[in-house]
Amino acid sequence: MSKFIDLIKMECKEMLRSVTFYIVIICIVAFFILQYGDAESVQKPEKGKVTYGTENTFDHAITIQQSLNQLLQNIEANRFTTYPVGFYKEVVLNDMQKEKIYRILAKILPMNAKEIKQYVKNQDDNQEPSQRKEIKVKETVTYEQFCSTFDEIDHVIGGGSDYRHERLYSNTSVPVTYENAMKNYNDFINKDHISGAYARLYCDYMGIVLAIMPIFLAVTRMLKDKRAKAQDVIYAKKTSSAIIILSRYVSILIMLLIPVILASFHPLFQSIYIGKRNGVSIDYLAFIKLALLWLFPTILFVVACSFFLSELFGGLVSILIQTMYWVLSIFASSNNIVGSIGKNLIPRFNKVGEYEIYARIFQELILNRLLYVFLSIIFIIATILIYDFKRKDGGRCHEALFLHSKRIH
Amino acid sequence: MQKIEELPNRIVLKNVNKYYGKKQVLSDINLEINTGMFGLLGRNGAGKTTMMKAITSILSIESGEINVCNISQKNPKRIREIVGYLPQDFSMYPNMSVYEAMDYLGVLSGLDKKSRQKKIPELLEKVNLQENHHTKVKAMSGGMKRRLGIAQAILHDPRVLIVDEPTAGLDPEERVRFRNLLSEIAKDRIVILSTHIVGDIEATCEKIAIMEEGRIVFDGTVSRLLEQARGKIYEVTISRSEIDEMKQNYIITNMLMLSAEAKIRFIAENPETSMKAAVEAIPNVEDAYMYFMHRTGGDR
Repeated sequence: MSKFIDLIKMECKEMLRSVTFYIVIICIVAFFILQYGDAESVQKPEKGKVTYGTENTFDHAITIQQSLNQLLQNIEANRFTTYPVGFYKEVVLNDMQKEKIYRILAKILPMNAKEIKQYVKNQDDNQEPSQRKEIKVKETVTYEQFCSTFDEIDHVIGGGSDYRHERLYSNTSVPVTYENAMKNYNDFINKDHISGAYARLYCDYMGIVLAIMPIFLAVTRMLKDKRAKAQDVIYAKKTSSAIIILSRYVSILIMLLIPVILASFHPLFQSIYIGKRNGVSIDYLAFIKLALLWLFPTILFVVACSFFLSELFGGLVSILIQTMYWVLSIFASSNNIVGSIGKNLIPRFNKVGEYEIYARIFQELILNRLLYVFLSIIFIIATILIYDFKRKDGGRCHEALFLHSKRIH
Repeated sequence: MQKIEELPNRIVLKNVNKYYGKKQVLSDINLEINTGMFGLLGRNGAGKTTMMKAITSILSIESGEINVCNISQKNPKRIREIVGYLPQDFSMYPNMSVYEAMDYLGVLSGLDKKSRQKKIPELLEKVNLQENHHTKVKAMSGGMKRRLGIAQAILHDPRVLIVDEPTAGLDPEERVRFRNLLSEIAKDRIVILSTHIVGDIEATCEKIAIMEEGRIVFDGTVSRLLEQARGKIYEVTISRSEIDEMKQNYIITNMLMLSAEAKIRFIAENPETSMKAAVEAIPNVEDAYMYFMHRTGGDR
């Protein structure tokens, strides 16, 4: 164990001399500061204001009605915004697809497909939505039935639309009441202790940059032996492949905590300031706690995946594949950046406050993070196996794997 | 499992074959190596490095058996415990200092901190790098890097030391110093020296093997090699204008240019009658090596 710790210390020291490391740190911190700027605070609402803004709601009745209205308008305009594989795509339906949607809708509306078609046709583009005659779903239709019907419609559209059940709430828009605004403020003070709300925004931005920048650090480390002509001499040493790979892995993880901690100072000081102004004591550890839960799995995964890909295919392939995955992850949540989780590598929560949404997605966030921790373990074990295999075959991998088997057969 | 101290100093290779893709790079190698310096001679691409790597267990073989001090190649971890390896073109991370590089490789060799602190200064002194503890690897000359390479290879006191082309690119003084160091190390362990520089072998090795196109074409003592070349090496002094014709008919092992003439050493089974002036010469290792390469179909 002491040798493992010695190796980690040496790896960290070596990284401190690497230009790549400083570039990565500067990029991470600079990205965060530029994006974060001066994040707005949650203000105490004043009674008697005309408006407190609008918000989405999870109220089933409102979700059903506003989603249905939105769909009928989209059919009439024949223009649907979707993100099927994370990228934006505008869908235009043909007559057959429209007919299919009418037939599906007929299951939950008190009209047949023909009547629905006629209703859509009669909609006047210039009419204000509030003046239009609303169709209501049958009283017997449950929220679950509505969701599964709209999932079918999403399928006809091609997937990735706001009509899939988990996105239905995004079709809603209700005015924020004074009570809700006050609740949001109270949650900000009492449940988030101010810093918790800022920690989410901090993790949101840091999650984006930490899903890409560590790739360069990991790839550089994995190629370093070969570039320094030290590969054979290290292969010939007695230390196990697991210790060699894990010491490198752990040292990168430790060193990446430096920008994570550095970047947290800015929102932490902001939280302290707001806390003092409001006479509230903040949670000083909120950033570290949330970073460990939210950001650490991202770092674990990105570094492990880079190790695996660069050991198997080389650094360039690793950078290409992971950059593509990063872009897809960014786009996958681009139509909802407050509380978008799913299986995305980059969970989004781009707002200060909204504790209620956070409480609602918390379990999903935990499952998401556990998934990436699990994948990291798989990747790191696979890296150790590949490294060990290459170590027994002079650093070659593909040839050894494929040509050898060809010759045997 | 035998203790390391109880293992015999012997490396045995039996019918070893190795391919890179479809190309066979080791062909039915049979070899036994015991304590002392063992020279592995052959031109570039003959398969020396491949064989060295296979013995070090960083390269697998397709068939055959390699036993290093009674440990099979199938147990690479154990072999790595008792083998020290200096690869061709050895280097380390450029920003590391000499001491740090030794320390890093010492940990990888399984040494604890106390042993490293004791052994590293001793070994750096042995290889004449005692003044260079803080010198960065990137600032080291080729010779210094080789000496660092040797120091790291013997850091864990291995039973077998394998050095691949260690003197290539060194100046004559450094080469001599390096050869002496290897001879000293070889007192109580096996040292395998792979090279295409015949002078290195001649100066240090009692037993040698010559490799050509993945095969062992000679395995024995230097004196036996010389013996086999006896009567095949001749010397003649000819005019400069005759050199081209000479080159076409014989393998020339050495050519000393005099004012209007040239003193030629060449290989011949029976020099032609036109070469009556040629006298039989006592072969040196270089002559004998050339003779073997010629006999096995090498270039002129």
